[in-house]
Amino acid sequence: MPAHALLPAVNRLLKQVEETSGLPVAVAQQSDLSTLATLRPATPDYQAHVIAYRDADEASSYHVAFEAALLLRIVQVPPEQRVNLTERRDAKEKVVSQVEKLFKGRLGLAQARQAGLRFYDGLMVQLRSTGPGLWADRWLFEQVPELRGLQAAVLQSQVQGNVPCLNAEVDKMSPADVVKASRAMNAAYAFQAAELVGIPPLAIPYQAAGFEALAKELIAITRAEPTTADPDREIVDGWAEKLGLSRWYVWKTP
Amino acid sequence: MEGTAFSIEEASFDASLLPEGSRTPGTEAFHRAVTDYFQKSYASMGGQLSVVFAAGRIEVAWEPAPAEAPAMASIGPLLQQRRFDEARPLLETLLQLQPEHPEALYNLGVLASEEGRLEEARLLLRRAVVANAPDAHAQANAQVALALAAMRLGDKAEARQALEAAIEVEAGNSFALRSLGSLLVIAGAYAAAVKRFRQALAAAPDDLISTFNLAQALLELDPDEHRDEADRLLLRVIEAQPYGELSDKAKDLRSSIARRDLRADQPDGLRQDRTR
Repeated sequence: MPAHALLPAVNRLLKQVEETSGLPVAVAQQSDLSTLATLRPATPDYQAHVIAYRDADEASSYHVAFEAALLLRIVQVPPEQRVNLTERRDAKEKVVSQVEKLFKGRLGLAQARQAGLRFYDGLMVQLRSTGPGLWADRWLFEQVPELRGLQAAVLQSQVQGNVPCLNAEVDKMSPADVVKASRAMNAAYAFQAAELVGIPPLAIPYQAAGFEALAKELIAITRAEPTTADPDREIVDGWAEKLGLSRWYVWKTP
Repeated sequence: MEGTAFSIEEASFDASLLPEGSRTPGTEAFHRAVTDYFQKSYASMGGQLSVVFAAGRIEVAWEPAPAEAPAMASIGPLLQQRRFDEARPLLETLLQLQPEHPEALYNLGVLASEEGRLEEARLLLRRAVVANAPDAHAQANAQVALALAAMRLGDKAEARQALEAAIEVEAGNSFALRSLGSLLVIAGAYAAAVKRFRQALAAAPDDLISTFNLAQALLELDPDEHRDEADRLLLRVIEAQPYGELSDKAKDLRSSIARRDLRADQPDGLRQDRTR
């Protein structure tokens, strides 16, 4: 038996996705997920959207709603215009090279390379997900007020979990460009969470570290009226420009 | 808000947040102004703030005010949000102060049971049953939790005894009725299980797990006689909860009914599409 059934508001949202896309949505708990939740939009070969969540707890309703909100945007992009964010080899190699220098004499080349790849991949995942994620959090706050209690708990927990990224030790172990961009994205998350939850001190660490102005610019990008059929791509590109990451990736059709 | 701790380089601090004349890292004026900034920023939250300057860094730690005497009013929300690591020490403190505190015994017992410390859970919950005697509903819940711990220990006798006791003190405890029904299914006593699931549904008509369990037990009891009722129940589960494990199970069970119908329609066992 499921430990926690999805809340009715989440079921309504899933139904909305099904009606908009014309395809079913499957929701499954998957305890070995590395993230709290994930989604896999339908493909020509697999005609169903899949949302997986990791923990069978109350918060999973929010995580599923969050993925459903993202999915609702994705399915509204005309199929021929759908693109994936993919790596740029030169940008990736630059990060690898920075990490090799950073750990010279302390890590073998192969290990340093692995670490560099992880930094690059991690930053690209963060870039691809955080901006649209901010949009989804705010959309859920406005459109599905029944979830606000759960949302408050999830956002606070996430902000608290991100705070250690500010610690000075992180600077010694990470490429400067990666750390700065990652902190700015975490700052945007914290400032929006502070606003939605109504607890301004949530964003204090980032304000003290000088990220307030940049964070607010990033948040503004997620709230701008879309001018194309792919609003998530607009957000990601807008963030990349502000963060100096425009030349770190390319969009490719699947 | 939970406590937080972080460190930033003095040189990284946003000096524009400080009054002019106190913006030079490393100076006493800077340290004083930074401390003032954090004190003002966290003032609305109460609690304790520590700002320490060491080796060019600012180490900040803020902790919410500790509960003077942990009260269930403050522990309850933590339990509801499944913040068990925070709730547990408060419950333990409460139990030290009041060794037979009914809610502390119950909640610590449930936590121990969920975390697999089953003997400890059983002992706590036996005490919780006694301590909760003045409140029939709370005592029934303690009996149900004791039954679950006993079931996890493989002690079906104590589990059944506890569930029957729960129903005795609170006849409409749907969870107890449902759990007893499940226990009876395990024992193969389908007719008795059906009766308990029906009682559970009478007490909580929207309980989809009881609805599903009743359908399952009816099919085990007599698939010919109860086919239509079981199918209606399964349909209700799928309509009310279209996504997730429970509806998947309901769909599977409906498919098995359909397969059975098909076999019943073809007594010679041949498929309709079969040709020679």
